[in-house]
Amino acid sequence: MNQSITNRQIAFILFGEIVGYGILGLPKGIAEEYGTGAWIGIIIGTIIAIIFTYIITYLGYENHGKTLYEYSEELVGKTITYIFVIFYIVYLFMFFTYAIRIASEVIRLTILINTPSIALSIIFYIVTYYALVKGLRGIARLCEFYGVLIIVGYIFIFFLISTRGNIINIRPIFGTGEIKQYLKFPLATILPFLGIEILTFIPFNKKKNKNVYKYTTLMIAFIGLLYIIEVQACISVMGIDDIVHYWDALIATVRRVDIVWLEFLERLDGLFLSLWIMSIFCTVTIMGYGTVFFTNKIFKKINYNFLAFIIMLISLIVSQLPKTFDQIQYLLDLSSYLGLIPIIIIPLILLIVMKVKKNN
Amino acid sequence: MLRNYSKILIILVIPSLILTGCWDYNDIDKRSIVITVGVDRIKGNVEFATEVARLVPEAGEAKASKQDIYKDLSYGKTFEFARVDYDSRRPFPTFLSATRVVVFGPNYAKEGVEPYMNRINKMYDYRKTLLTVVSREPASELIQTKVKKSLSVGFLIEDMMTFLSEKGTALYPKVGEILSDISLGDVGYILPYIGKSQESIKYLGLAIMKESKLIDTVDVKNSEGILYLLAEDPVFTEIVTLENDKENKYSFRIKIGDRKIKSEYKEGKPIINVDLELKNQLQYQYYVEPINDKEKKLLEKKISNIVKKYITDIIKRSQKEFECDIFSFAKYFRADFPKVYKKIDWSKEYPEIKVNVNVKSKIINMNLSDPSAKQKY
Repeated sequence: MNQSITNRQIAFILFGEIVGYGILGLPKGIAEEYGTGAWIGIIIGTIIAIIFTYIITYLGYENHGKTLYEYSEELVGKTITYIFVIFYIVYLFMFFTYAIRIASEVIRLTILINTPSIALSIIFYIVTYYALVKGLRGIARLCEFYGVLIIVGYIFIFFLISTRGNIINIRPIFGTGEIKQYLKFPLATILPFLGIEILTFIPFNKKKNKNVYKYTTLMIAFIGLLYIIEVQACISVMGIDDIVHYWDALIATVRRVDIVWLEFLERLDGLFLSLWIMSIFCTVTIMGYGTVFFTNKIFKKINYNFLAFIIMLISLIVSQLPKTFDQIQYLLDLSSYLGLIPIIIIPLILLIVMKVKKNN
Repeated sequence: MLRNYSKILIILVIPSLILTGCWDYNDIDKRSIVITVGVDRIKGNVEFATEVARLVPEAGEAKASKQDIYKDLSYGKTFEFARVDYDSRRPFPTFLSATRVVVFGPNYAKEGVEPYMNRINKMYDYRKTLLTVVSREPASELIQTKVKKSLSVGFLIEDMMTFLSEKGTALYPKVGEILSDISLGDVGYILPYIGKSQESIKYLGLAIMKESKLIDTVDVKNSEGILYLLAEDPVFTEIVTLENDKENKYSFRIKIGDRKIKSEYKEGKPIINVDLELKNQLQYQYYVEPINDKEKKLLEKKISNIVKKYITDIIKRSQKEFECDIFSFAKYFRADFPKVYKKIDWSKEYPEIKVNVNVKSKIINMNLSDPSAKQKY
């Protein structure tokens, strides 16, 4: 089911996957690490993410029309490829499963108090399954359409939030000014960029995707910029001392802002939650697609649509296993850390092997 | 063809059956819409005094509705028990999203309002941009007032505070802003102070909150200094006279052009510098007389001195009487000297810190009057 897509679609898929659930807690995570110098942390994270995006794009582009499964098999053999693919499957499956569950929990805790989270999860699964059976091109078109709405909507909301913020809350601009603060490996800054591994299961076409490097790296840079605007806007409203208490820092900030002249949109939380649910939907759809795609590579004989249905069903059951919010958060964090392997370690191994083989 | 229809049918039917809104859906006339909440401590119990809107469909017109407001009281050892008490008196579930104002009674305000602020913050249906005020009378007495100027006490307080804060003559602190100040820890904050007057509600001034406890109040007539420092876009009226003619008063409309708060750290002591630039517009003179440039300068200086006195007086009071940084100077000092701020205890330092106030004022127009007009006869 290899389908090539346009550069713009690749960029929007990247956006759709990266900007999802994580945007809620990003201001808290970064503020805890860097204080008011959060923007520096995001810049560091963005640069690291751009480097790995470039590496993954390079692997895909140089192996024309192939996805990780195919070019990895050529580079490191079948057995290691299986191990790699299993890593991807476990990570993607865990992430999208618990992203759906935690998104349902957040919706239940913030707006639909009496609605069981399983009902919300089922809605997510039904719509995700429908998108999955449409294949990569369908998902790409969806991300393109939703992506524009999400970007415009988020920028609009962040701008409005910052008009209600206070500059004194984002000072000192450079945090405490201690250099060592920025030298430690910033896990909190790289985790918001989880999702670049999507490029491993998109087959690139050398002719069609000539400028793909520009599109992917610029999209990461744009996401970094969006994150900076978000974090600074949130800190300017909540203050650095308060924001660190909220896992849902962005929702908490949005709820503290009233824009009277917007009349019926005076409270921004309705608008924000709609956009956020759209972005969650993009994330889980792409990750769901990745899971089904790689599983299908192992179980080639099983029909794609049927496999998608089975995976969705298993995911629904697994998503309901954790009983507390903390357990879900823990599992999501665990899958995030697991994500560092497919976005950093595996592409690096493949790049080194490819370079060595080329030189030989 | 049939397969396509069945897909559409499944997509339509399944979400309808488990439609997410179903669990939370409730008709608006089947909710107790709380407009005002009064929180107080009476004989060791938490007292909730509430104004509740009842929407009653009018006979023969299913869509039209008539608004009716009733008031009730409930008690409990804690907020939770008091809530159980008021839920058990109401026909419909309580709905707090439309609450306009939370009134803290004097007993509860003195005890500390932080728990209720946190309650507002974490209760999903409370707006976080809610107005909170402190009342001179017990909250229940204030809420029981039969106001004629508005639909309810809550609407009256909200409208009054909105109007006054837009004019710049009062503060409208929202719960979210107060929570940020509480998190900082080293600063106090200010809430509007209201009370009953002539069978209505009146804005009395400002309530000073230290560690979220009411410690003092500032009368509306003495609140200019605070407003010059904290109000968003204040507009004041000041009356000045010239030495040679005390009878003729000059009424000026004053706006803040620029307000800068900077900090220094010298000889182990924090210093706060407040620079204010005022833009003055002459509204009228009590008796029309020519004003020359020298007199203009004198008037500007007089205005500067008046405003400077307002500010220095209230800052001194905050240092000596309240012993609490109600102006959030701590934020400015921390922004400039984060490492020093970490080491010192700002709340202990604050009463001793030096605050320099510098006020510059400029008459920017004379309200289309020509004070130097030449008269032929």
